[in-house]
Formats: sequence, structure tokens, C-alpha cells
Amino acid sequence: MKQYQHLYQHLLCACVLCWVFIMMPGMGGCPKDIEIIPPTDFKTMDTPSDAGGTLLLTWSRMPYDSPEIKYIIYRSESRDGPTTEVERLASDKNFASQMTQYFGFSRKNRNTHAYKVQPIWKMKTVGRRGTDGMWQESQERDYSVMTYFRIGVTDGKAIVMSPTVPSGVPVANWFRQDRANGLIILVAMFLFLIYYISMAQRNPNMFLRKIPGIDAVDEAVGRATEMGKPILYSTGYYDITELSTICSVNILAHVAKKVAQYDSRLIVPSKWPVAMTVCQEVVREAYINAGRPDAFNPNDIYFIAGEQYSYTIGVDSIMVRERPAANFFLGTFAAEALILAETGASTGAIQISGTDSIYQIPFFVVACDYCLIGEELYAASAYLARNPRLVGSLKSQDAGKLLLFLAFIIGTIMVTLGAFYPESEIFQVIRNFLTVR
Amino acid sequence: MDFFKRKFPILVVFVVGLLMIIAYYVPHKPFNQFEGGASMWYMIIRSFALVLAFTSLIRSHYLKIREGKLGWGYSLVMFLALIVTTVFGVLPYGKNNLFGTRSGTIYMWIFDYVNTPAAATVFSLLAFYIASAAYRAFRVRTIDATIMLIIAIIVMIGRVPWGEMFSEFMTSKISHHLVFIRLDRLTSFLLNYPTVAARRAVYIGIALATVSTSLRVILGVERTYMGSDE
Repeated sequence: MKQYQHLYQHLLCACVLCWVFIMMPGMGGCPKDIEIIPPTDFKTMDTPSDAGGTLLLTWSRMPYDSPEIKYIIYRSESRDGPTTEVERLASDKNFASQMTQYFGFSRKNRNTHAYKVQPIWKMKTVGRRGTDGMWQESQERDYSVMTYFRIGVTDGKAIVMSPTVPSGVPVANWFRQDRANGLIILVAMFLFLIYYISMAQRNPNMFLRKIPGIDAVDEAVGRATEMGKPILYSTGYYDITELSTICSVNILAHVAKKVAQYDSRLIVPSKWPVAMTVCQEVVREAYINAGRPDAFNPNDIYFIAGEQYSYTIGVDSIMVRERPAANFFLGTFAAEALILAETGASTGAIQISGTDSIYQIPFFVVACDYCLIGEELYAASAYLARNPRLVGSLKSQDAGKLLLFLAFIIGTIMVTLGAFYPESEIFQVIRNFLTVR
Repeated sequence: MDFFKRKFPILVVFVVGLLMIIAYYVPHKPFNQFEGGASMWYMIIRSFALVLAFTSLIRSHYLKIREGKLGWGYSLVMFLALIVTTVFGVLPYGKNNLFGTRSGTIYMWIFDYVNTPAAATVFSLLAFYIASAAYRAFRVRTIDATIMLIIAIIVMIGRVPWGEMFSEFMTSKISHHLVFIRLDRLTSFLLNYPTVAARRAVYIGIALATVSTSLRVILGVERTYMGSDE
């Protein structure tokens, strides 16, 4: 009986080994017994919604696709000309289903490979740049030429080339379809703006949520006047190209008007030349509007330094030496936010800050008496002006929030349903539309 | 005159703003070139404004020295630094490696061994300021401050290896039922869900405010930046 037991064991081992040898190619994803043939349906197409910089290559999924098998993309300037290798791609990746912005959500995309490729560009010299006597020519793309593409497939030993040689020239498109959702929001906001401005003109006493930081402007300016000390105003880390700086300049106009009326002194140290010039003009206009053009001192609005920490130390030194009674830090700030706010707090000044830099908000909340959080910075100017047009525009912002809230609910439902019904295209299409790009 | 002072700037803002909006949605020429063109215009304007900034810098420090204001000695240092860096940075590069802005020149030596350490020193101050700000924020005065203190303690302990080791010890050695106090997981939860939710709410508010403010400026509803809200 024992000799049969050994025989059974040997037979069992043989069966297991046979099963392993038979099944292994399929399990490992390495179809060694499948013949490598050239990829089929190799085509080029223009990339939608772009400025004409790229092309899309597509070809069918092949039975031998696996991590070991690679596709090789070549390009040339003529059909029979010398080719250059562009990229080697693993054949189990790069499917059209992964590029939904170009190919949508059709199920057939899972059986189509896709790859975004650059055409051949003609370059042009645009200028010479020189440092310390060394000159370099700088070039940029001029135009793309008709580019011919070839595709090969290799298992690491030999390359099998496709006979098809598609070609193409990228074309610039007239509309970014992937940004259509943003355009809808923009148009909706525009319509809300028009509607609420007309509403506000009919009813100038529209309710506005209180912003304590802005209500404290009078208190801060009054305190500085009583103490006979100046007021410090910083527009932040960025130049006038940032919207937050423009908003800060708008608030500066109101603060400067108050300062002129109270006959106090306003110091505006600046980090940027353009912002400094704009601040000078805005403060001058505010003093003129307040009927105190003689009180305007352009020497109080000056440039400190263009470098981050030099500016920070410059403002800190003003706070320590001049001891302003009120500090305003309104705009976008970076690492200097806490250094400025803590120095100001140590001098005992009343501090009003406001920023849209999310990582600096906690620092300002802790170190300042009042803090405008995010959107409040943008709303502050309109809030201060109490002009019906500006008040109406603030209400339109609330309506925009409601619209986005609805989009969130729809998006959440679509994502949830999409998880339950992954084959359904409609859920994916709506979700894709609600995705920001 | 009033046209050039009031209406013309609004017209310029409207046209440029509209073109930039179109450029965002139309990738075709000539619209896709507007952004680059606007940046170039800005650089040109900035170059002119730099002269004004330089004049402003000189004037403010000169007045400090002349009036003998507190810290006027630092203004002298500023003038000295300005002259030295300008002379060594602007004069043409020669064989002696003294002038110019290449590596190894005096200008770069000043930048590497004076400016960079000074900036790093200021940045290092942040550590001490964070400590003093944290002390002020975490003083238990209200319920909000107490909640913030508890959350801060959880996150601080959960982010250091010691916190993870403590959590591991509690769950493996004492009781598996204590899994709810795994501080590392609790920290990840706090950072990934409630914090992100609050942050996104602020981001969405900012995004909408940006659209709304841009429209206000482009349409001429907001004119405060011109010194008048009328």
C-alpha cells in the first residue's frame, strides 16, 4: 500500500506542475503563445480643445497586450523618411478610457489605446540673451509640420512594425469644451449680478451679513487719532496683478479717506513698484475726496524692498520704531504673515488682517484682533462703500453659492450612482461635466 | 479731461478684461497670445515703476538720515549696500572675476553669505513666533478654545513617532477595544476630513468672490481703485 502512496504523491505533483505550466502564461499576463502581429486601426486625430500643440494617436487593443510587450511610437517628416523614436509604452496601459476629456465614456474606449503626442516643430530664433558677456540665442516654436507616425510592437527580441503610416498637423480649436462648466458659472454670475444690482437700486437697504473686521476700521482709525500715532497698512506679498491686492487697494481707499477725515497719518510700505505707485494715487485721490489734499504726504507711501524677508523686516522695524496704533494687513501673505502680526501684537496695536491664503488665516486669527477670512477680503470694499451697485453684487455672490450648492448635490448623487452603475454612461458624463479643469 | 481720468480707464479695463475672459475659453490665435502679451506689458510697466520705487527708496532713507530719525544708521548701511552691490553687479565682467553676477563674483558672495543667511535668520524667527501664537491660541478661555486645544494635542501627538508607538502599545498590549484612541488614525481623520471640508468651503468662497469681484471691476461697478466709488 505504501508504494502506491508514493505513486499517488508523484501523480499529484505531476498534475499540479502540469496545471501550473498550462495556466501560468494566462495568470502572469504573458501570452507567450500568442503571435505578435502589427497593431491595427492605427490613426491620428487632432487633440480637441487645445491650441494646436498636440495630436492623439489611437490603435486597437491587441490580444498580446501585457506589461512585457511594448509599443514603440516613431515620427518622421515624410512618409518614407528617417524616423525618430518618440516613446515606448507598456501595452497594458494608455487606453482611451483613461482620457475621458477627449474620448468620452463610451465602452469601446476600453478596447482602444490612445497616446497624446507632439508633432515635429520648426523653431525660430526670438532673441539673444546675455549675462556677463556670454550670449545665448533663445528659440521658440514657430509652426508644426505634417508629421508621419509609425507604430511598432516588441517583446524585447524583435520589433514588428505596422504598415499603416498615418499623418497629421495639429489644428488650433476655437473653444475649450472642457471649460464649458466654468463658462456657465460665469454667465450665471453675470446674470445674477445684473439682477441683484437692479434689485439693490430699488431697495437700497438690502440686508448684508455683518463683517466685524470691517466695522472695526472706524474704531482703529479713531484710536490712532486719539493716541496721536500713525496707521500702518500693508497690501501683502503680491503685486497689483493679484486680485487680492486690488481688493486690498480698494479697502485702502476707504481707510485713507477715514484717515484724512480724522487728520491722522497713514504709512503704506510697499514690496512692489507698481503696487506702490497705485497706492500713492489711490491715497492721493482719497485725500482729495475727503477735502484734505494738503494733508497727503507721498513720502509715507514708499518702497521698502522687493525681497520677501527684507520687506518683512522693513515693516517690522516701522512697527517697532514708529509704534503705529493700528495695523492693517490685507492681501495675500506668505510666511511673513505671522512675523508681521506677532510683531504688531507685541507693540500693542489694534490689528485688522484679511487674507485669502488659507495657510496664513490661522496665524492672523490668533495674532490679530480682527481677521477677514477668504471671501470677506473681496467683499470688504463693497461692504464699506454701501453703494447699491456694490451691495447688489455681493448678493449675487450668495446666489452663486446656491448654484454651486446645487451642483454639489447633483455631483454627489452622480458619483454615488456611478459607483453602483459603472456601465451607465449618463452618470459619468454628468460627473465629468461637473469636474473642474 | 474727465473722460481720460474716469471713463477711459474703465473702458481699458473692460476691453482688456473681456479679451482675457475670451482668451481663457478660446485657445485659437490671436486670443491665446493675449496672456503672454499682457505679461510682457506688465513687465514693461514694472520696469518704469522700478525707477519710481528706486527714487522712493532713496528719498525715504535720505529723509531718515537728514531728520536723524530713530535707526538712521541702518539707512546709511542701506546706502552702502546699494552702492557696493550696484558697482560690483552692474560693471562689466572681466578676467579678474570681481564684477558681474556670475558665481564666484563679489556680488554673488554678498548674496550667498550676507543676504541668504540674513533671510534665513528672519525665517527662523517664525519658530519662536509660532510658539508664542500657539500659547495665545490655546489658552483655555472659551469652549471653542478648549476644543481647539484638544484637537491640537491629538494632532501634535498623532504626527510624531511617539504618538504612533503609544497607540500601538494601547491597542496591542492593553486592549483591542482601545482602537478608537489610535491617535495616528484619529489625526489622519481630522486632517483628511473635517480640515479639508473647512478648507474647501473657504476655497469655494474665494473662487466665487474672485469671479464676482472680477466682474465688478470689468463692468466698472467697482471703481474704488481709481480713488472714487461714485
